[in-house]
Amino acid sequence: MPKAAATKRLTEALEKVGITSIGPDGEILVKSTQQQQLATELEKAGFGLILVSGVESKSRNGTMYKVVVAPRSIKDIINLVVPEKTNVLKQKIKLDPIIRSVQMNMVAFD
Amino acid sequence: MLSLYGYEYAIKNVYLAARSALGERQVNNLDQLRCFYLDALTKLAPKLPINRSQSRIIVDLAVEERLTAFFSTSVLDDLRQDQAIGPAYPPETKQAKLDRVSEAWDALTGRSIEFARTLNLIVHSVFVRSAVGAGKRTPRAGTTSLAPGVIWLAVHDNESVEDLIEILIHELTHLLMFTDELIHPQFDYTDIAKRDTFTLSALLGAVRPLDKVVHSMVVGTEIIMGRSALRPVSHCGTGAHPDSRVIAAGVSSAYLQLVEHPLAVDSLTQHTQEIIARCHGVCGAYNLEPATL
Repeated sequence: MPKAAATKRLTEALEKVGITSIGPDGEILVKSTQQQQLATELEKAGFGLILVSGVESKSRNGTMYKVVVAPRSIKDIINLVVPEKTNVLKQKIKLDPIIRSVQMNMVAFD
Repeated sequence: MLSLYGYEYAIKNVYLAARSALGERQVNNLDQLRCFYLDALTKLAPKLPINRSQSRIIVDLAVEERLTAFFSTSVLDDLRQDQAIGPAYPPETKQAKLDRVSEAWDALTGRSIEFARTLNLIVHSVFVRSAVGAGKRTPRAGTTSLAPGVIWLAVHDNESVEDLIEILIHELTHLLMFTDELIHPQFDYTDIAKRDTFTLSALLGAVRPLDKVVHSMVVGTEIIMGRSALRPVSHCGTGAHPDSRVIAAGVSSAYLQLVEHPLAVDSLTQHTQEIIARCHGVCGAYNLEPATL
């Protein structure tokens, strides 16, 4: 995505939830009431949030997050899956008892 | 497997696993993919309680009891894992333990979009319950391929959020390996229960069934790579796992023992041989570069 278009999409997504200020490294202050809608809007625009670490990230006014470019969208990823393989798999999951073999793994036992 | 193979590989595997429930419908976003994946798990494990709510934490005691029952005996369980889960926590302490798991979950998902999306997709239920035969400081948690998407945790008072984050990464890795196994067979399933294919595991350093050995190598590698990506002070040990250099040495030893064991190698598919070679490649680099620790 070109930088100007990406910036525009980000700005629009933030404005939809009422956030108008963003720091030089993408920092934004998010109120708990904004969090859910913001995550949805950002995902649509191709961005995501990570928590700014440290005790100073939380204040009475909200939590400090950093906006980052999100991984490729789910739709784009699954478009890369080879169709033939998926047909084989449908049968395999239904019919093959062997791949259901029981394995149990536990912390401290490896 | 998330760090070793990447986020897109994990998503593709979940999508392929979800295909049995998809029909002609299209997947456009993560919520839809989760929904279809959980539908596929219902077909795969019809008696498993599938939690479709946004919170993955299981509070209901009846559901907790049903999930516990899935951690049952198997020919591949060599350390009496089926007896590892103990009684329910008393109600007055259970909520505090669930709150600490939630805190660790939020901290982990707040540090990485890839971890957040993968964890939210793969894991549908996390329950807490006491552990049998372990000290109050010994970390205990588990997954089973009979209950895909389910994590059991025994939460001890001494465990920090960082410890619990590593335990979540550990268990997520097992679940991702199970999902991978639905798409790519990993073993010669007629041989892995035979003792003469057993070999050295990476974390415990004991001779164990091959599935445990392979999983231990991948878990060890994921803990090291997860520390690099997610922790400010990255490679010191935690209450859950030792120092990264110790883990890397364990993974390398396990790898070298396995590749010298013809029966064991023959019991791995080409795909699994590639997985463990990747683990060895990552951990070999950590062994050679102590300055990075």
